[in-house]
Amino acid sequence: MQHINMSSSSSSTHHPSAPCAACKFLRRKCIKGCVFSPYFPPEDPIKFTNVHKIFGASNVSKLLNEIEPHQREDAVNSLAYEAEARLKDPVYGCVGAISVLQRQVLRLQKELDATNADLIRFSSNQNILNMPQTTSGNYPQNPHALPPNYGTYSWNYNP
Amino acid sequence: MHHFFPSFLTQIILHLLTQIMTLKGGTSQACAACKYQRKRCTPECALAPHFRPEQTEIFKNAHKLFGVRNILRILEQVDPAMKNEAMRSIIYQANMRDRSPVHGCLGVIYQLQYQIRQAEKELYTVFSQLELYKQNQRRQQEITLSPMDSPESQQLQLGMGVEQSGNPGLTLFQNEVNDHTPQQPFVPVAAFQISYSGNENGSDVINVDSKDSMNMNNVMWGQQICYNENNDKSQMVNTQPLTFQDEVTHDYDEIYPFFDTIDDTQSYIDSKEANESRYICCLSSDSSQLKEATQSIQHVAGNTLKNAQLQVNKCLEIYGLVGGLGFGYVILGVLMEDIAQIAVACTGSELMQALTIFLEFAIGASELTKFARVRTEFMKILTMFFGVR
Repeated sequence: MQHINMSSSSSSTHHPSAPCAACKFLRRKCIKGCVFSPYFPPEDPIKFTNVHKIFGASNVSKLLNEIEPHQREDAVNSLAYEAEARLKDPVYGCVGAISVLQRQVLRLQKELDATNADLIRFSSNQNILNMPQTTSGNYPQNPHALPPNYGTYSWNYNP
Repeated sequence: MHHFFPSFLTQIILHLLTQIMTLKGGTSQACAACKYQRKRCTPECALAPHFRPEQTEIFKNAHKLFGVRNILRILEQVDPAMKNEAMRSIIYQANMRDRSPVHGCLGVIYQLQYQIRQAEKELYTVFSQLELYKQNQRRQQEITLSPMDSPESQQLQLGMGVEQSGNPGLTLFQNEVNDHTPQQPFVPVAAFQISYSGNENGSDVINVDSKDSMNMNNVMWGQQICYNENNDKSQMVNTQPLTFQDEVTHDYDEIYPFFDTIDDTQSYIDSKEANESRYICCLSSDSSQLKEATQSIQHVAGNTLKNAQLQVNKCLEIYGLVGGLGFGYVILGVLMEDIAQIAVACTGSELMQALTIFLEFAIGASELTKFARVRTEFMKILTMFFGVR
């Protein structure tokens, strides 16, 4: 397999035989078909260090081998994110963020329900759901319904 | 050593053990972790409290993602008091990875961010609508206080020359809009009752402030987190995330420059088709309502003014504008009269176009002070569409 630098970082392509961050860390030869090399460029050693600390290289390689190649970059990025989160917060890891977000969703939902209730109350008070039925020709009793007879207005269209 | 034990004690101990084993339903089982590793589960097993014997699948997931050694290492790092919570988060993370091998927990985060974004948008529109109602109510109270026939009140009714001071209705929620669509101004669409779908580009790295998570004393292990072993492993939708707490103040003048560019009559008429699609795509991704409205309009045969009025009415109804725009149905009525008079002479699709543009304006013109400008722009556009009258 051709060694291609598929990293999303803007670094220039490195020498083809330079070992990837994973093989550098593991002190082994970075072979041509190394599963890590497209996703762990040598320029970012921390990424692999974190992932290895939390999940372990063998687990990661097993995981990557079970996924389609075009999805591996996403997988590696999610693992890198989770590893970093777990290092920052050993108790909750990335689940802490999930919890915060879920709370936010609930809060917004409650607020939405309350505001919708307000809106319904307002609209029912103002009785705006009535459609005008007859042409009264006068100023409509309910100013919030559509005027039934547009001709009552002296405003004519003049270009 | 046994002969040092009085025999009756041995018997008691054996009896007790039998009782215990009977209560447990047989020989005490190894925890799921030890079962998986095919080793003896000792009383000192660190994983036994967290993996009941029947939780084989759950342990398998945790083992697949972390491995026993890493799990134990994490447990060692945390306070003994937090070990249970730590284990729960590990289990959850592993289960999410099992459910979605590519995205794992990050997929859940993306989804939640998307939900938050949608909820915020909805909240924004509902707030603005509510504010419009309130404003309208206030104005109506002002109107009913003054006599109906005076020219001032006539002016008021028609919405001309009213100085509107104070907060514009739509900026109520401005600090909570969270929208990154560079190609379209954010238009409140509650009046259309259509969900606004934006296409965000670029995925940002999510930076979680670890302070957030550390402030929680008990994590919300809510409904969404429950992992049922029988869940089928559906792939999560990878909606692009935004950074947390990204706040954008929305300036409603954004909508005007868009229409200010329509001054060149000739090129505008020439590119009518392109503009139509631009206007219509600004409104919604839900074309079924649009289609319905178009069809209803195209059924107007031999337009009389009354028919046109009815069709315009129906259009606005479909768009949810009836009872939607609180800024003054008087104004709306006037403009509709304008439309209707023109609508007499035009085809269904032309009317549709005009209405579409008008509605965009109407949504943007939340204040009475903007009405005059709205009307001018609207007339300009109608003129361009249908020729000078």
